[in-house]
Order: sequence, then C-alpha cells, then structure tokens
Amino acid sequence: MSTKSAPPPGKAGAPPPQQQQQQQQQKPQVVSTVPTLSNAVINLAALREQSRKDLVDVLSSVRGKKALVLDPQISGPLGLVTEVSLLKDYGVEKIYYLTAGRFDTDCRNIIYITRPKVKWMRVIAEHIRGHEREGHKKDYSLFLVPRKTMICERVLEEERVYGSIMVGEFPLDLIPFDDDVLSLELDTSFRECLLEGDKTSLYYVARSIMKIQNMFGIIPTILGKGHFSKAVYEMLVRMRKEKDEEDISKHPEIDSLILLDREVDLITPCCTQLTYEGLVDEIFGIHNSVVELDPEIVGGPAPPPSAGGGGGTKRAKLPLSSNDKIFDEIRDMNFAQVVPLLNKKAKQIGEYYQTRHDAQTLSQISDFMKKLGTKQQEHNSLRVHTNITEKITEITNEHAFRRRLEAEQSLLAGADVEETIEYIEECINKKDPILKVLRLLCLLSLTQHGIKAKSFEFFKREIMQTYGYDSMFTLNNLESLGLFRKHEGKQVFATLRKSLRLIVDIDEHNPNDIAYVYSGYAPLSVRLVQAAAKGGGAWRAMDDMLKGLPGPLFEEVQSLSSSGGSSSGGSSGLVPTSHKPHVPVTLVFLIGGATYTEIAALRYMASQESPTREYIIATTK
Amino acid sequence: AYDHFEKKSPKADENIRSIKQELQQAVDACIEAAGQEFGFAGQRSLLKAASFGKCFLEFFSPLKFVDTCKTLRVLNAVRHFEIGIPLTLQQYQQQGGQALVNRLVNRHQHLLAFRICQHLGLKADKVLVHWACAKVKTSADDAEVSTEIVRKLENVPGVSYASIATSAYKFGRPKLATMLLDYEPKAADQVPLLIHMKEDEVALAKAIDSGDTDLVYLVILHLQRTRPIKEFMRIIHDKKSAMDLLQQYCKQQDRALLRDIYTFFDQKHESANLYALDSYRAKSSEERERCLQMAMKDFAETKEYQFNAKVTEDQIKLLILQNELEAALPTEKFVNLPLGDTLYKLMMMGETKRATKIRGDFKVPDKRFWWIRIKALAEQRDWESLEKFSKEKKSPIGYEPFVDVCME
Repeated sequence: MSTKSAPPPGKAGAPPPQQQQQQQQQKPQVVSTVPTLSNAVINLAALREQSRKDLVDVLSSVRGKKALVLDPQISGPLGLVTEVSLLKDYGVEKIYYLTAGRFDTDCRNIIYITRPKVKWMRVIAEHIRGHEREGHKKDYSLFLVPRKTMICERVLEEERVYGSIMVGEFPLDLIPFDDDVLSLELDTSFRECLLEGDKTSLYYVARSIMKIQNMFGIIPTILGKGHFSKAVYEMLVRMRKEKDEEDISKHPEIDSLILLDREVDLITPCCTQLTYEGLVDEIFGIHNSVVELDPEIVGGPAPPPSAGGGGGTKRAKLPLSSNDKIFDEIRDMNFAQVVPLLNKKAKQIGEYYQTRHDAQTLSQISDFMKKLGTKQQEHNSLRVHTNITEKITEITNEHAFRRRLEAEQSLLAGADVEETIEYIEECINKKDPILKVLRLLCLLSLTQHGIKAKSFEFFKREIMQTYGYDSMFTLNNLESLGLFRKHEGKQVFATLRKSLRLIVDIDEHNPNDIAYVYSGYAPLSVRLVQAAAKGGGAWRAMDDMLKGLPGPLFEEVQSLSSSGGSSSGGSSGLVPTSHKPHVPVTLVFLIGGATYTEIAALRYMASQESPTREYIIATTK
Repeated sequence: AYDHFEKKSPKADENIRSIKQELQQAVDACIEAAGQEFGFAGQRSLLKAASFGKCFLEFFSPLKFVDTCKTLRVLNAVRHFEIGIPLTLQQYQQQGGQALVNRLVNRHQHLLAFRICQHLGLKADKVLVHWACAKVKTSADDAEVSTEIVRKLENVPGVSYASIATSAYKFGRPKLATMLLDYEPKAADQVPLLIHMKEDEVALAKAIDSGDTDLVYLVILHLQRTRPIKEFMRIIHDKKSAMDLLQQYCKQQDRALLRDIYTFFDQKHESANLYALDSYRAKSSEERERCLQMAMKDFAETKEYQFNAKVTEDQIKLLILQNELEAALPTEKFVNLPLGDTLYKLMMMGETKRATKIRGDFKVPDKRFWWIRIKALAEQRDWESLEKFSKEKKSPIGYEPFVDVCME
C-alpha cells in the first residue's frame, strides 16, 4: 500500500505549469471552504488569521520546495483556515495523506503535520527508515497539532529516528466554522475523556479558551455543569495564574462563558436531527462543513469549483456554510419548512428571469444585469439544495424513517415503552445499521433510566448474535458510560421533562420554541443554556433540579484585574452591564461535541430573546 | 551661551529677556551639561538654571528634563563610593538601565537594583529571583529562608520559583528546593525539576493537578524507566488519572506491560477484554480459540461479567462450528461472520437443515429466525418457498414482514 496521493505517480516530473494544474487536482483533500466570517459578533477572523500566521511560520521554517504530508484528520480543518494558494506561495509542491507503508516523493524536504498520535509517529519512522534503506537523503520536519507531546518524542526515540527529524508544534486549535461556530475538531474527545480517562482534550479546551481570552479579553462570568466543565474551569484559573504578563487593558468582548459537558445531555445526540442541516448530516454526513454527495445531486453543467478532482473522485464535495445564501436561510429550519420555502425561492428566481423580457428601458436592463451574477449563483445553489431536499424527502417519506421517529418521540414523551422495545427488536432482526439500533437503545435506556434486566440481556445477546462478537466491546463501553444499562432507581428524565418543558407541541411550519429542531423535543443542553442565560441567580437555583445529571454545577466570576485568579460570586448572573454599548455575547462551549440541531436551537434562541444576546458556539467536534 | 546664562539666571529675568532668542538652546544645554556633570553641586545648579529657564518658554517639553533627573539619580546612586561604578551618561545611555541592573545584581547589590527597577519602571522579577538564589546559599534554616523568600516575592507576578529552587538544589538543599517549588505556578517548570530532584511522587501529584496530560506522561514514563515494576505499580495504583493514561499508552505501545498491570491489580475483566481483543489478532484458529478461552476464564472470575463469559463461550462454540462448516463446505468462508449472518448464508445456500440445527444450539429466538429466513428467501426470489414457509406455522412476527420483503 503506498501513500495516497490523488494524481497518478507517473506525472511527478511534469514541467511547472502542468505541475500547478496537477496541484489543483491533487487538492480534493484540502477543499478550501474558508467561511467569510463577515457577520461574526466578535472578530473571529482574527482567530483564523492567527492560525494562518502559525501555518506560515511552519511552512517557512523549512527552506525551499517541500512536500506536505497531512494527517487525514488535519486536512479538513486546514481547509477551513487556509486556501491552497497560500500553501503554494510558501513552496509546497505536493500534498499527501499520511498513510502506512512506502512513501515516495521527489521532494527533498518533507513536512509532516499530524495530531500527536503514537500510530502516526510509527508511520513516519517507517517512512524515514524506508528512505534510508533506499539511500535517499531527505530533510524531515514534523509539526504536531496543537502541540508537541513527550510521548510522541519518546516513540520517535524508541524508533531510532528522533535524530533525523525536526519536531515542532503548530498550535491550531479553535477553528472558526462559521460566523458563530468554533470547533477544536478533536473527534475523539468524548471517548477519550469519558471512557479512557485521557483528559488531554480538556487541556486543549482550556488552552483554547485562554487564547480567546487573550484576544477578546477576560470573560467575567463562567457558568457550567459537569465534571469536565469544572475541570476546565479549574485549569483556566490555574493557567491565568501561570501567565506572567497580564493584559488587563482589553475590554471584555465576551461577557459570559457557559461550559457544558456532553455527558450532561446524552439524550439529544441519540435523536434524529430534523433540521435541514441536521438531516443532511444524518443522511450524507457532514465533515468539516463539507458534505460528500453523488455527483448527479450537485450535478449541472458547472459543478462548484470546490468539487475538486472532478472525474477523479466519485463523490462531489459541497461546502456548506453561511456563504451560501440559500443554505444559510434553510439550514436551521425544520425540514417541514424547507420544501415550501425552496418552492417560493424557485418562483422568485423564475419571476426575476421573467423581468428580462419585460425590461423596457435601458436602466431596467442594466439593473437586471447587475443582479444577474448573484442571481445565477443563487439559482445554482437553489438547484443543488432542491436536489438534496428531494433525496431527503424520499428517505423521510419511507415507512422505516417514520417508524423510527415515532419510536423516538414516544420514548421522549414517556409513552408506551413496550411497543418501542418490540420495534427495536425488529430492527435488530432486520439487521438495520447498528448505529441506528444503538442510538435507539441508548435513548430507551436514558429516558427510562435503564432497561429491565431481562430485556437488557436479551438485547445484548441479540445484538451480538446479529452483529458479531466484537459488538461486545461496544456494548461494554456504552455500559461503562451509562448510556446503556440495567434499570435502576429514580426517573431523572421524567422529572426533567416536566420541569424543563422538554416536550413541547410544535407547529413545524411556524415554530415558537427551540423544540422545533426535533419536532417537539427541546434539546436538554439548549434548555440548560437558556436557563443559564437568564442570570440573576437562576443558574444556581437549578442545582436541585439538575442533581440527577452527572457533575457539579457552578457559577464563578473572574476578576478582570491582574492579581486574583477568580473569586466565587453567586448572584451576579449574566445581567448585561450597562456601560457596554454592544450586545452581550455568550460563548457556549459544549465539551464533547455538539449536534447541528443544538446549534440551530441556539441560533433560534439568539433571534428570539430580548434583550438580545448573541451566542457563539464552540465545541470539541 | 550657557555660562553666561548660568551666572545670570539666579539674579533676574531681565537677562533672560535679553537672550530670549537662544533660551531654548540654553535650557537644553543646561540639561545636557547637568547630565555630564559628576559633582552634586554642579548638577544641582545646572538643573536649577534649566528649570528656571524653562518657565519662560512657551513650548517646552518637560520630558527631557524629567528623564535627566531620573537618570542622574540612578547614576549618582551607583557612583556612590560603596557601590563604585563610575558611569558616564554616555556609557549609561549605551548600556541601558537593564544592563546596569544586571551588573548590580552580579555584585549582589540587590536592594539598590530593586530600587532602580522600581524607579525606572523595569521588571524586577529577575532581581528578586537572583536575590532569592543568593539568599538560599546563606546558612539560615530551611523553613526560615523559605518563608522569607515567599513573603517578599508573593506579590510580584512572574517570579520563577523554579529557578530559585534549582539553585537551592544545586547548593545541596533539596528540602528547601522542594518547599520553594511548591510555590511555582507553572507546572511545566515545576515537574521536570521535581523529577530531577528525585521527588517523583510529588512530581506525579503536581502533574496530575495541572491537568496537563503530557506532564503526567513525563513522570509516568520516567518512573517506569527508573523503578522496578513493583514499586512503579505501587506508586501509580491509587492515582486514577495516571493509571488511565498509562493504560492508554500501553494499548498503543506496550501490550505486555498492560497485561502486567491487569494481572498486578487483578483486573480480571480488563484482562479478559484484552484476551478477547487479542483473538482478533490471532493468526490461526487454534491460537484464536485459546485467546477466547483465556478471556472466558477471566470473565467468569468476575461477578459482573458472567454474561460476557457466557457470550464468549458461545463465540468459541461458533468458531468451532464455523471451522467445521468451512471444512464441510470448502467453497465458502464462515469464520468471522456473526451468528445471524452464518444462518443467513446457510439458508442462501439451501442448507436449511444445518441452519435449523444451529438455531437450536444457540437458542436463536423464533422471531429472529423467521426474519432471517424470510429475508433469505426473498433475496433468492424463491417466492414459492416463502409462501410455503408463511403457511407452515403461525408467524411470530405477523405477516407484515412478508409483505414488506415482497414489496422490496
């Protein structure tokens, strides 16, 4: 198995102009999806600028032409930070994915950019030794994201290549995904923290918050719920003490931070997301705000430029961000609203084209021409999204999909369990995708506070016999996370359902509560944010109610002055201080991942609340 | 012009008027001259003259005057015979205040250096650290020195206790060094030094507190390298987060050590899991079976994992069976398929009898068996058998599935 690289290896020695073209083709991996960020409440572009500068430092630390070898997990995030042209400007000739086995390149300088994972270190060592055997002399540098770790250096040492590679770090952490979404892109954070007890990602979370505080000022109020949130908060206090220089001068641009553990709300991710973006994710999968689709869906004579490899790749890539006007409008809508809206849009554009024929005067014509460009763009994206919508509608209209929704809804509402249990059994018997089965089972377990001992073992056996013995590991893991367990004690969810109004009757076409994102279920996590944002001690008052959820609840005030780390203060809440001219901004950090629906719900909240408050959402993935 | 001015200035302003044109230069010159002057008296009178003169100037920036005064104070202080650094203004300007402070510190004139820092608005932490390092070498009692240093330094941000501790340690006072290190806020500085001082257990505790997993690894790996395994285990066994990290490391790098850990702490179920995972790496089916046997044994010894023991037993049974099947039906592969798929495959091959027998052996529930059967028949488009099957007995899953598969 050789290192994956898009172009056929024979073309390596092509003359420069062609090579440039080739580079374009090589790019399906780094799809540039850089969002504009023009509407962000705080200057998130500065955050990206910083990362870009760091990248330039990385690239220019090696002289001459170089080959860039990327951890596949890094290439997506990198595409959100930079364009391909920037890499080229700094002498990057070729880009490869890091894969095990032989690695051939004619570049003398090789830069690896990877996560600090042991397996990558081994792969790199293997490359180096391979080159040595064949007598190639090359210069290697390795940049670890977001920082160097002892353990990687030690592995390189053990592999006896430490001397021949330059190790540095590339502090890429929070990546702006959109005007209001940031992500660390640590996909394994939840698993590492909860299951394996490896809290490295929490350290990264704390570091990234420190970075934000450096850029946008100290965040005065910090609220949170959960063990990990608490741990992050403690690290924040500590890191502040560690810092020598204090820049107090900065006026805080963000007035509060809400930290929430994913563990606090495990129910939400078990449900099927029902917003447009959520469904696109459920059905096609969104990675680094790019969705891969069948080419005929994107279709049309002119595929978007980022479709990249064109004929080479089977799947077309479509970047999804608020740059796309149509998508921006429909992404957070309940799917039921999307179809009528798209129809309306189509009609509008049709009418617009019609005006060309009606245009009489010169000015009318020039007016038409002026809008033509944007309209065509809009038309194009409208077509794509209509195609996607059709595809989704096909699926949502299926009997199976509707039954699944019914099952979820009845679990959430606490209605008839027996029927759902039978439904899940049927799913297993049919050998539906295991993910679907497990999500339903976890939902069952979470909402019922465990599964009756008899059906518990029954399900386990059924799953293992259907999906194989190795699913035992998955089940054990789910058990130790408390996602799937035997019945016990009190009904936490049932009380919360009532006290937090998690189940709301919703008119899908005319939403009046965040519950619209799941057609009737309000994500627990977002309800908590809602409560936290009320201020005036409302958060502390929730403590009793939330006792059943794991982890402590806290509310702390950070002093802006240099000396003290922070002092505990209960009553201050999130009341926006009067001297601030701008809308108060809250940073919501969901530790362990967020769903698209939660993001949608938070956006909806921001648009409904008065006095208005802007939310920025940050997450580990 | 300034000589002239110097004499007249104290007298009257008439003279000033007379030199009005050159007053600006005159004042500048006075300030300059004062800077150059070594004697106190001369400095004083020149400055006085300058200050007097500048009152008559409409646009005069006082900055230079103030600067010179500040500088002179510093210079005078260091020129004092007890210190004895006769610096000229030019020398001082070239070197800058920081260099002077460094020189003073090297001469152990900490108090003066500190004062100068305050006076010039320089950062004083280096001076203080140097002072503390020197203090460490005096012979006072450990506790006393430590409290004195801490008392003096606690209000200054950015003091590196680690470097003080280093010098204490080098001076042969490890106890004092440890005490001082306790105040170091930067774990990244603290931990390596603690390791160096062989305070491994303290280092581990501090590393865990900091939340920086990399530091924890640093300590763990150091311990693992330097201590015998028993002692190593003893140190980390009650530190949960260190244990977790070590296990993570082992999973990727050192499975033998992982097994040691599980045996050492008698974590039967983890050990069983490891065996079960190993079974997927096994090259031959005999080795595989052995791994699973071990896993079953370990699972069986824990109370909560009886169920896992049972399913592992089933898995062994299945494995044997699949090997038999492969021997009997040499064209097909069965190993690694889940039970359900095995049944499905047999049915697809028309081996209904074998399938029914296996179903009995593994107690497959009616419902699932029916589903597999229906799906297999539908997949083969064997509608006749499907119809026959539907009439055989009353269906445990109703007749909807029959309709469903037919539609598909």
